[in-house]
Amino acid sequence: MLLGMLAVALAANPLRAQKKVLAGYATTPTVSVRLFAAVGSMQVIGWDRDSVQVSGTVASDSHVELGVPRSTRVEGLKMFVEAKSEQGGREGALTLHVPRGARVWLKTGSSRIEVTDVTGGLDLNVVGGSITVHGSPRELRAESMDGAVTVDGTPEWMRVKTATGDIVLRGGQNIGASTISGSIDAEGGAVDHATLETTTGAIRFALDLARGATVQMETHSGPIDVQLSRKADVAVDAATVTGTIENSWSRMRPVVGGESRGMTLATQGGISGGRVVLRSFKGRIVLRGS
Amino acid sequence: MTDHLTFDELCDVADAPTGAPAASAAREHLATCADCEEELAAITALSAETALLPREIAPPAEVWTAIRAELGVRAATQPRWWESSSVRLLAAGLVIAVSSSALTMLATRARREPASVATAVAPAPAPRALPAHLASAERGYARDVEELRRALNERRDSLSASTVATVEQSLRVADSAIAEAREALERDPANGVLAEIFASNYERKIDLLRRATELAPRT
Amino acid sequence: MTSTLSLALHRRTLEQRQRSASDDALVNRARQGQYDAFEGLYRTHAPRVYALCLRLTADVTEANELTQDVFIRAWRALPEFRGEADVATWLHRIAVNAMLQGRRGDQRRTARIALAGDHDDDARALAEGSTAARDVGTAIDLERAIASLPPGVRRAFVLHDVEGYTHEEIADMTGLAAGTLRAQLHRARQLLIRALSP
Repeated sequence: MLLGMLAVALAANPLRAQKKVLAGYATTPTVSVRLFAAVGSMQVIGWDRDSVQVSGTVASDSHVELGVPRSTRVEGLKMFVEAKSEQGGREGALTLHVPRGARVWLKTGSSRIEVTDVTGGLDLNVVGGSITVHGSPRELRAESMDGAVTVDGTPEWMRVKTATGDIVLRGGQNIGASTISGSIDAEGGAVDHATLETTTGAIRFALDLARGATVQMETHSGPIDVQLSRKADVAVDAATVTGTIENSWSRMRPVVGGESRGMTLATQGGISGGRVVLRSFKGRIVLRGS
Repeated sequence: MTDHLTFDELCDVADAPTGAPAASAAREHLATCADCEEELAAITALSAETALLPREIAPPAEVWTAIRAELGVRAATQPRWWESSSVRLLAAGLVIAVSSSALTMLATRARREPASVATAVAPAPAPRALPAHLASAERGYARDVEELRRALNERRDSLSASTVATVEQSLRVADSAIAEAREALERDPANGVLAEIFASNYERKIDLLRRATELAPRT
Repeated sequence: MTSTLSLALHRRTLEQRQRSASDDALVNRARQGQYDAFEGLYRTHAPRVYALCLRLTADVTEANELTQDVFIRAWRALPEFRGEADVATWLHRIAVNAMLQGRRGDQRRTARIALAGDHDDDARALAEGSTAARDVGTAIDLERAIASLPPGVRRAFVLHDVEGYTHEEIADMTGLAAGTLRAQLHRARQLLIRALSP
C-alpha cells in the first residue's frame, strides 16, 4: 500500500524526472525549422522577432540536439528530442517560438501540437496526438493517425489527413482533407477548391463558395451533409450507389436509378458558377439551403 | 603571364571539338600558362565527374500510384478524349484492382495477425476472367500494396502498439470498403460512380500504408 | 569535355534505338486507351524522367509531383504524338516545359520545409541511383553542389552537361538566347568548381 502511494506521488510529479531545455538563435524572418520532438505536448508560436527560441522540459533521459547554427543569421535549424522509452516520449512540454514567416516541419510521437500565429509554412506530423492550428499559414500540411486535426484559420493551401481522427476546418482557399473513419467538419469562410473524402466518416460542409469554386466530397459509407447558400451560383452533381439523396437546397428532385443505379441529383449553374460534386456508395447525402 | 584566359574562354576550349581553329590560339596560351592549364583541368574534371552521374533514378512507387489515380478516377468523372463508349468501360475497369479472393485473403490475414500491421505480403492476385488491362491494373495495385507492406513490416517494431492497432483497424475498414465496392462492381462493371469510389477507397488504403511506413523510422 | 559529352550522347543514342521499337508498340496501344501499355511506357521512361526532374527541381517532393505531371500531360497528349521525336525526347521536353511553366495549382503547391541540410537527403537519393562503381561520396558532393545552384544556371547545367542537350536544343526548349544560356552554363561550372574545391 505504501509503495503504491509512493508510485502515485511520483507519477503525480513528473517534473522530478524531467530536465529543462532552453536555446535561442538569431535567424532570418523566413527561417526553416525542422524539429523532431518526442515530448508530451508541443506548442509553436509565431512572434515578431527574427529569432527562434525553444524552451520547456523533456524526460530526463531524453537525447536533445538543438542544432548548431552555421552563421549568425540562421536560415535553417534542425533539432531533435529523442526519448529513450515510449513513456519518456509522452512526458514534458516544449514551446517553440519562431518568426511569423517561418516554415516549420514538426514530427512528434504522442504529442498534442498547438500552433499559433505562424504565417509561413507548416508541415506537422503526429502519430498519436492531436493537432490544432490557430491562424492562417500560407501552406499547411497536417497528418495524424488517431488524433484530431483542428484548423482555426484560413490557410491558402492545406492538406489534412488522419486515419481515425476527426478533422475540423474553419475555412481555407484550397483545401484537401482525407480520413478513413474520422469525420470532416468544414464550416466558415469562402473556399476556392476543396476535396473532402472519407471511407466511413461523416462529412459536413458549410463553407461559403468563392466564385467559380470547385468542391468534391466523396465517401464510401459516411453521411454527407452539405449546406449551400440558396443564392449560390453553383451546379451540383450528386450520385450514390445505394445511398439516398435528400435535397432541400433547391426544388430539384433526386432521381432514383440513374446511371449510378442509386440516386442522382444534377442541377445547373451559370457559366462562371461553381461546381459541387458529391459521391457516396451507401452513405446518405443531404443538401440544405441557407 | 598576365593576359590569362577568361573562364568563358576556358569553357569554350573545353567544349570545342579537338583541333577546332577557334580554340587554337587559346591552346597556345595554355601551353605556356600553368594557371590557365590548371583551371582548364578543373573544368575537364568536372565534366568527367558529371558524365558519371546516374542517368536513371527509380521514382518512388507512389508516383505511379498518383498518376494512375489521376487518370483512372478522372476518367469516370470528366470527359476525356478516350471516353468513347467502348473505352469508358475500360477506364472504369482499370480501377478494379484486386480480385475478391485476394482482398478476402488480405482482410483475413489482417484479422488473424493482430500483432502486426504488415506481416502479410499481398499475393499476386489471380487474374481469373479479367481482361488484360484489368489484370495489369490489378498487378499495379498489388505491387504498391506489397511494396508498402514489406517496408512497413521491416519497420513495425519501431511503432507503438497503439499505433499498430490504429493502422490495423483502419486497414480493416479500408479493405472492407474495397471488398464491398468490388462485389458491387462485379454485378455492375459499367457503373462509373462505383468505379470512382472503389478507386478512392483503394488510394486511401495505399496512402494509409505509405503514411504508416513513413511514421516508422528505419531500424 | 568534348569526348566525355560525345560518349554520353553516343550512349544516349544507343539506348534510344533499343527502346524505340518497343516504344512504338506501346505508344500505339496507349493511344487506343490501354492503360497497361501506358504503364509500360512509364516503367521504361520514368527513371530517366525522374532523374531529370530531381536535378531540375533539386527537391524530392517537387520531383515526384513534376514526374506525375509529366506523365499525366503525356497521357493527354498521346493523340497528338506523331512520333517525330522518340518517346524519351518527347517526355523530356514535356518535363522541361512543365517545370518552366511553374508550379501552379494545388498539385504544384507543397508545404515542404526546405533546409540547407535537406539537400543532403536529395543528393543521397541521386547518388544512390548511380550504377557505376565509384566514389559515392564524390557523387553526393557533386549532386549537392548542383542542387544548391541558382535555378537558372542549374537548369542550363543539367540540360547541357548532364543530359547532353545541345545549345540549340536547350534554346528551343527554354526560349533562352544563346548568349544567356552560355553565360548560365559557364556560371554553373564556375560555381560547381568553387563548391567542390577543398
